[in-house]
Formats: sequence, C-alpha cells, structure tokens
Amino acid sequence: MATAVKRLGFQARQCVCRIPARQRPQTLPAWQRPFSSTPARCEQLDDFAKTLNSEDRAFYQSLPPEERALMRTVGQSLGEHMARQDVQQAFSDEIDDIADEVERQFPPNLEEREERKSQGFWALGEPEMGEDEEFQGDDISSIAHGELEQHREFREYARLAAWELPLLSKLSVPFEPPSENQPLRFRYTSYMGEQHPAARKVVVEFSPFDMPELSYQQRGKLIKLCGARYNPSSRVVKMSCESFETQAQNKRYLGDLVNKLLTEARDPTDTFEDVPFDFRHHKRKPNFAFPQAWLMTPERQKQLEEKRQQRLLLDQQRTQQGTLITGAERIQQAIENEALAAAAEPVVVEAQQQRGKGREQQRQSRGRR
Amino acid sequence: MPSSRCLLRLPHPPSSLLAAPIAPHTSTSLRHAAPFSASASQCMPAPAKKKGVTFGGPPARGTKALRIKKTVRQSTARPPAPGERRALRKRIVLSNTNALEVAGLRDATLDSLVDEAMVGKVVGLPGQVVDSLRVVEAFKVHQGWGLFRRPACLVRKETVEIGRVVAEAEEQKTTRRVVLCGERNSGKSVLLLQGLAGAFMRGWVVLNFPEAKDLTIGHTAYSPIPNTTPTQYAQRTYTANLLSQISKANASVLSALQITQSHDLPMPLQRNLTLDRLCELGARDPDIAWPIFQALWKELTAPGRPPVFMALDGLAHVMRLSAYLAPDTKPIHAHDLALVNHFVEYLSGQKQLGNGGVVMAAVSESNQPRTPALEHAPRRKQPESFLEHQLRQLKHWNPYVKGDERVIKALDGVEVLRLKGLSREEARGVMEYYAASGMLRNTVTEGFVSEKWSLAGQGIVGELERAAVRLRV
Repeated sequence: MATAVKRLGFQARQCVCRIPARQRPQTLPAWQRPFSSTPARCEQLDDFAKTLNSEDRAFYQSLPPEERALMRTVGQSLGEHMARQDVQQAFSDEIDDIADEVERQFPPNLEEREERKSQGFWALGEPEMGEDEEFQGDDISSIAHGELEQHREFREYARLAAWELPLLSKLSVPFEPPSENQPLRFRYTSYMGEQHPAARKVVVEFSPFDMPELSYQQRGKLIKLCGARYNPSSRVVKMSCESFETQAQNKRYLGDLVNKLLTEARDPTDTFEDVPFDFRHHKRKPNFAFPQAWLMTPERQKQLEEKRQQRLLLDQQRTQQGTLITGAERIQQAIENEALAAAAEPVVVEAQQQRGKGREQQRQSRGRR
Repeated sequence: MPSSRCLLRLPHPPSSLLAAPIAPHTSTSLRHAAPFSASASQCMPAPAKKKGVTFGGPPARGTKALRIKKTVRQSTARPPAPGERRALRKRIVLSNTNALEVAGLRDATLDSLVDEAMVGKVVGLPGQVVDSLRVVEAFKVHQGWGLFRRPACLVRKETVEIGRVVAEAEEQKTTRRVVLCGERNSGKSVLLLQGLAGAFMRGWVVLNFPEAKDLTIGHTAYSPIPNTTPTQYAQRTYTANLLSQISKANASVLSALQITQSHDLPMPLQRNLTLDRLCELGARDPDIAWPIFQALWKELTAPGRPPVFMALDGLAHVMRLSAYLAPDTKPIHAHDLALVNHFVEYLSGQKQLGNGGVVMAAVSESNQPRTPALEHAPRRKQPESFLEHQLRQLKHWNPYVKGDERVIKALDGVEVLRLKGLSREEARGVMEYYAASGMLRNTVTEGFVSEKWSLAGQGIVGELERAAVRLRV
C-alpha cells in the first residue's frame, strides 16, 4: 500500500510541475501503431513547446503569438523557480510527511500479497514469459488491425472501380474469331501478379482436321502420334508444357513440337497404316436422344386408332364366324364329350324280375305313410 | 504404500521367509497373480477349493459334467439311389394327359416346314421323328413340352428360312453354316430342333451335340490321339455314347447303308456290315469309339451317301479354353478336342460335306461363358471374310481386346440368324393352340394377344408361354 501511496506522490509532483523542473532522463515512448497511414503534417515546434506535455502543447499552439510569448516567459520563470534547491527540498519534505501520515493510518499488510496465478498443467516447466513489454493497454488487438487493413483495401479497390475501371473501355478491342491459318489455340494462366508455380504453364489445343496440307493418311498418322492427347469425341489434341522457366519458352517449345509432329506426319517413309488407332484412353459419353419416330403426332395417333379399329373388327368377324377360341369353353366341351362318350357306352345291368303289386307291398306303402 | 516403505516399517522377516514364496508361486500360479510386493503376505490364506467345481475349461478327468445331446432327426425316407436324382433332373416329359387333344392339329410334313402359308400355325411332330429327337436329346428340360398333349411346335418365319436352307443344301449339295443367336427364351434351341426334325423327315443323317458344355467342362474321360499335331484329344466315353445315339436315331437310314470304304481299324470288319451296326460296335467298346467314328464319317462323306445335319447347342462353350489340362498342365483349347474339332472344321468352312448338308449351332443366352470373339461374330450383319473383317476392324473389332484367333477364324463367314420376338400373327397362332389345349382359359382376342405379346417383350416366345400358360392367375 505504501508503495501505491508513494506512487501517488510522484504523480502529484508530476502534475504540479507541468514544466519539467528537473532534467530527468526522458524515457522513449513505446512505438504506437498509427491509426492512419497518412503522414502527420504538424506545425514547426519551438523549444518551449517541446518541453510541454501534449495537452499543454495543444493549448499553447492554439494561442495567438503574443499570448504564446507571455505563456513562454511565465513558464520559463516558473521553471526556474521550481528548479531552485530550496523549493525542491520543501516539496520533497511535504510529500514525505504526507506519505508517513498515510503509512501510519494504513500500516502495510504484508500478508496481503497478490497471489501468483497458477500456471496450470500445460504450462508446467515452461519458462515464464512475464508481462508483454510492448503492449501498454493503449492499442486495439492485432485482429482488429487486420480488419482495419482489410477495410482500407476494400476502399482502395472501390475507388479504383469507381474512377479507373470506366476508363478501361477505351482499350477494348472487338472479338475476331481465329482465321483458318490460326489453327493453334494457346491458353495461359495468370495469377494476378502473384507468384505461382503454374503461372509459366502454357497449353495448346488444335484439331488435326484443321491442320493445313494433310492427306487422309497423314492425318491418321498425326492422330496416332499424338496418342492419348487426342480426344476422338471433340477431335482435339491438347498438349501442355511447363518444363521451362518462362511462359514464352514453354510456348516456343509447344510451337516447335507441333511443327515437328506435322513434319513427321508428312514423312512418307512410315505411314503407320499397320498400327490400329488406339482410343482406349477415351470413354465416349453415350448420347441418348429421343427417336423422332417415337414422337406422338396427330397422324401417328390416327394411324394407331385405325389399327385398333381394325383389330376390333377382326374380333367381331371371328365372333360371327365362331372361330374365336375360348379355353374355358373348350374344357367344358371336352368334359361334356367325355360324359357323352361314357353315356353312349352300353352298361351291363343285372336283370330284375318285375313283381306285381301284392298285398305285402300295399301294406308297406301304407306303413310308410 | 510403496513397497520400499513397507519394508522399512515392518520388522525384517527371516531370510528363509523371503526366499520361500518363490516356490509356492510357481506351483499355485492360478491363485496368485504376479505380486506387486516382495514382502510375505499378511492376510489369511485363501479358502481351499471345493472339489469338482470348475469355473471354465473342461471338467477334469473322472468327473461328471452335464452333457446336452443335439437332437438329430432321423429321416425315415429312403435315400435316393445313385443316379436317381440326376435322372429326375434330366427327365423329359413330352406329354400331359390332362391337356386336351387339339382337334385339327396336323402333323408336320416336308412341305409344311418350307411353306410360308404355314407361318403362324402350330404343327405336331410325327411320332417317329419325336423318337429320334428324343434319342439325340434335342428336347430340353426347361422347354414346355410337358404342358401339352403331344409335342407340337409353331411354324415361324425363321422355321421356314431354316427349312429352305436345308432344302437348298440338299438340292445343290452344298454345306450351309448357320449360327442361331438371339435373346434369352427367343426359341433358338427349338428352332434347332425344328431343323433336326426337318433333317430326320428328309432322311438325312443327323449328328447332334445337345450340350456343348458337356464336351468341355472336363466331365468325361479324355486321352491324346497319337500322331496328331497339334495334339488332339479323344473323349472315348462321350464318343461311344454319341455313336449309340447316331445308330438309334438314324436307324432307318443307316441300316440301309453298307460299308464301302476300307478302314484302318484295330479289328476286322464284316464285309457287308451296315452303318448302324458299325456305330453299335463303337458304342459297345469306348476304346475303339473314336476310330469307329472316323470310319463312320469316311463312309458318310463318300459319294452317294445322304446329306448330313450337324447341330450343336451352347456354342460359346466350345469357343474357349476347355477345362481339360494338357500334360504340361496348360488348359487345352476346346478346338483341340477331337469331337469339337470335327464340328468346328465344318462350321468354319475348312471342310465341306461332299453330299451336302447343314452345320448349325445355337448360342445359349442363359448359360454362356464370356467369349469376346463370339460376342463380336453375331454382331456382324453381313457375312464377310476374315481379311475383309481385318481391314474394317476399326469399325467393328477392337484390336486392343484380347481375342482368340482360332475362334475368329472358326466363325468367319457363317450365316447368322438372329431370332427376335414373334410377330403378332405368330403369337396369336401359338396362343390359340394354348387355348385349344385347355391350358389357357381366356378368349384369344386381339386385345388379349396384344397384352401378352407386349408383356413378353414384343413376343419373346418363352416369355409368351410364361405369361399365358405358366403364370396363370
């Protein structure tokens, strides 16, 4: 506590002497990140202003010159006064008295110390880093700085879009499709000024069918030479190069290669006719198109309807002629025929003599009643 | 409490005690786990084990344990005799006494199989032909012969085509080579049967391999034939059976023919021996079956003999490596089997039948091993020579697919007859036959025929039968 009070005392002394009384070694202020990137444009400071703190300096600078001179003389005399030995002594005695008084009232509590924060398990055995020396609680976090930086960038590009992009239309050139004597199509890759290993890559595409002065046979040889780089669906050969350091070198190489291929294809010593085309690298995408013949048109509808009518007519005719066959009927007929055949066969039955109505019979019939 | 402290606090035990625990630990290791402490245990000794009680593991010798027997049901039925199940599986039923006799069903004649006016009508197979067909195993188990009163078949457009092929071969004394292919159940085997029936009716000699699979899956004995390059292999048991089939099925033709050629056979032959007797000799003794088969073939191809009809079902099985192994443990190509080679020589056109004849093979779609060359051959629309084919291979044959050159050559230039579904008229004819047999109860109207025809994938005949007769709701 005492230390705190002592610190208070120093503060008081600092407050009192706005004008530095003693030549204390000036501590270098910590570097602070500027909020703005624009360089500060300030007025030329005189020697007196440099001795003031920021608030006073601002006040001093806002004054008209005659008042400034007045303030300067007063300030200088005050400084001289405060720098005197006896004044200093009086101040320090006063402060010591107050400090002793406070210490008497609030005796220092030895036990009440700030507890050390436990390091936790994961920091065990790690050297202590101590407090951040640079950060003095007067700045925003680095993430916030990042956000600000990004926002500045947005604004910069917004300015560009608003002021400079419209000017680009002056440079526009109308598109011209490549002519017949430009069968090669090159592709380059730009990473907008960034360094990238693929930035030097150049791709060339061409169709052997667009190449000039090639016979049927020579074109076949060219396709066979190109191997898996030929796509039989689109009829395009695609080759790339990134083995050299610059884009131009790669493009040169590709151009030479195409020339070499063409000379080889035109070379009649080996026509490659005995080598079959090899398109195993390519899988053709099946194209399922709806057959035009299946489309239901009014004529087709009419045709189908006529066919149905004809079939119905045929059925009617057959019914009238009795040639329509029904399975169930046939089965029924067969059963009946079987029964008839069975009935037609003579059955031997035991002969029985007929007896006349005698008394006994009459009695029986009466009894039944 | 750590062990070191424990030892400190306790009075030192005599050295004998410290040494002692080593012995009991080894003997009663079950009771004690490995000790954490080297000090003698202070607790009471564990209670003695009860005798006869075990916790896991089999009971000790001499003790009784609970045993639950598994209930095994004793079947009282007689187990099937050897070959009984096979006989049941292979049984061919050609008649259904519950089916009605169809009034007005005419027997097939030579003309009816060539006449276009007969297309769409059902004809019965004559009794003698049925017997012969049964002997050469032309009827298959899965076909619907057992549903009707007597064997009868539909005359379809392709039947007439085949009939014409047979008639032309007889007239011009040429060899016609035909491969039948088409969708599953589209009637390839039955068309082959119709071809065989036509040949029987014409008095041809018929040679039928009912299942090509039986030749190549390694189920019959085989032996190399000496002095052949490349080595050929004879299947003597199969050949003997084939000879017996030939003699029985073609008895009426062969009994009228006598041997005229000289043969190099291991036994002397009677001078006026008829050919059916010759076949029987081979059928009786498998050892001489292959030489006898060769002798028979020499007789049949001699001038003045009747034409020959050779048929094979399941072509894909003979167009690949067989399951047999050569002495160098490499698989034998099916074309190196003597019987297969015999058939393939005529199918490929390498040899011609002097008296005319037909070599016909059917592809089986339900039992077909993958042979890329065979898949390719039926795809070709026009018959073309191998050279032409080689020239146009880009469009048709993928040169980077491993193909069997022997197979490609064997199928070079064959006529391919692709079977599709029946036409509506044909479908109507066969369905009227179903109804007249009492196997289909509905009235056969145009609408009904259309419905079943569509259900059967546009008239696939096997599916039509299934939809109309078998799947009756």
